Amino acid sequence: MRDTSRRMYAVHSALGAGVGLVLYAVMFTGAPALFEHELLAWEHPELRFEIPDRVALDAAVARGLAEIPPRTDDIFVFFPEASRPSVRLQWVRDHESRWLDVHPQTLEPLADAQYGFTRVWRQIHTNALMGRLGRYAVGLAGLAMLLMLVSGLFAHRKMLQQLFTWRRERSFRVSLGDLHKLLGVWGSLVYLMFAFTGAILGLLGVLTLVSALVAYGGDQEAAVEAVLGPAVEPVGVLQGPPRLAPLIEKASARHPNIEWTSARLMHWRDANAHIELGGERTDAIAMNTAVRYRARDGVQVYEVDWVERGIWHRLFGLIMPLHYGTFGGLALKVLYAVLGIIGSIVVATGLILWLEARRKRRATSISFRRIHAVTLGLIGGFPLATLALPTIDRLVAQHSTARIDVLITAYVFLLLVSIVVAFQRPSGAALRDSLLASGAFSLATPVSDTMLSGWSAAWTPGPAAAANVAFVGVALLCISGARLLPVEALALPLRPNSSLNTLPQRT
Amino acid sequence: MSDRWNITGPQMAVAMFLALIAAIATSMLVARFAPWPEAERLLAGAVTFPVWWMSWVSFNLLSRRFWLRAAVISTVTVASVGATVLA
Repeated sequence: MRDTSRRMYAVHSALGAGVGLVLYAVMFTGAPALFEHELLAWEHPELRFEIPDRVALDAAVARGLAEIPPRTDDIFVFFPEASRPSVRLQWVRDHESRWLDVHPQTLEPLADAQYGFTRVWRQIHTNALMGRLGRYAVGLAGLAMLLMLVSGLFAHRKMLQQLFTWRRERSFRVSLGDLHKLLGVWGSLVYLMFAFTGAILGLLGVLTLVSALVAYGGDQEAAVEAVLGPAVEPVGVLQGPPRLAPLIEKASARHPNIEWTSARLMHWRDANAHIELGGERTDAIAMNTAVRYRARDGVQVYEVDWVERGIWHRLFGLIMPLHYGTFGGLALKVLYAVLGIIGSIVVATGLILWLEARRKRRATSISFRRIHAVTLGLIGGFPLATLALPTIDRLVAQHSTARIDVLITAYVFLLLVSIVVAFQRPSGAALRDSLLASGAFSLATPVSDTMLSGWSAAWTPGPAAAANVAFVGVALLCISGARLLPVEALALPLRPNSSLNTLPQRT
Repeated sequence: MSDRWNITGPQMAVAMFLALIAAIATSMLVARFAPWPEAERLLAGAVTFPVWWMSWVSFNLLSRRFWLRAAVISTVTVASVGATVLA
């Protein structure tokens, strides 16, 4: 048993050193990325209005369809919701997602939108800015996290005791170790869920492809149909824009427990157009239900219900809501974000413990000093870059035609700055400064919004004002966190003849 | 630490890679032979994948006979893929 425990510790430690920083980045950015919808109005000031009493859905869709590029046959329509009161038409062109927001009452097309800072947060969380390959890499990191959690739990045999132990009066290493175990054990069930569902979501492209081909005995067409529904073939006869309102009425009568939120228009100009309504169940935790109708006569041709079709559909339908916390309103998302940040603290403390175990022995080694600087630089760099992004977006990127590129460049630049600062100051001072700068940027976020949008738009109760209040709260947390950091404890001993050390050697 | 307890970096990498391939093969077995309709089998293969990965990687890392277990995993993987393809 003792041997197994030590072996598990070895696995936990080696794996943490190998993928710890990736997991830290994924967990840290996952927390703010949860609020992608809630921050839409902050990110796109043209969306700061209330849903009107009378929503002219079909008219708004027809107005939007008149504006979109020709030969765009597959379009998603998102109905107005509290965080985005517009009717949104979204399509894919040249492998890129584009959209147009239409006011649901005045039918005015709103400013043609570009992705903003929340997209960068989300991309780092889901694919580390590396496209499909990055998505698989993040999925593999999820598997590694699963193994780290299980090996960590097996390595610590006094789990019950560790739930209540934090010896703050002892040495830095013991105190930090206690904090790492305490937070890790308390949150272990949630982190296991994050890792399990995250691994499936990251590797879903490969898993469903392989499973579909095998399950259907190599019949590719049947496999594709099973995953995406039957293909819709145009007949080549043109017709006007489809009407959604009657279909929503029909679907609501048949499924009273579903709140319809979107529609997919398939070959919408054609006489054989199909419309797939998507909605959230109000009586169960599950992915969106989809019901497909033939537009010309309203006949239902296909339905995906993740609750009614069997145990594996039910389990699969749980993955996304569980991972993103979309089933319990804003309060649950806040809880998820707090747990995500605590998870990233567990990973960061683990990384610092790994450095701490080698600090005295290898302090004069150049390679160790580099690893020390890069690790501390990135631990401080991700909060800094993440929280700086909204202000940079509002002040600079929003006025650029390459908004997302500017934001990604700024993000990477700030990470590099943080690493360079950590090289210059091989101690916790670099980490403290990064946290203080994160707090300053977070505080600058509502200030920049107030300056550019005006007091009324920034603080009138609504999603944007709530975001501004949240940014102030996050700023206070960062500044408090920076003040609590044991700066001296993280310092590296002086190297002879080195000009890099700015702090005295720890005694 | 890893040397002391007989788990080296390359061993970790081999164990994780073999577990990945073996887990995909196990998911394929589920998707092909489990006693449910096709659509259910498809999803069962995907949903159970992390469980198979954890099982295989633990099987490999928990023993001192690392390479023997690695060989067992490789054999089972080849047999699973063969059985799935031939069925």
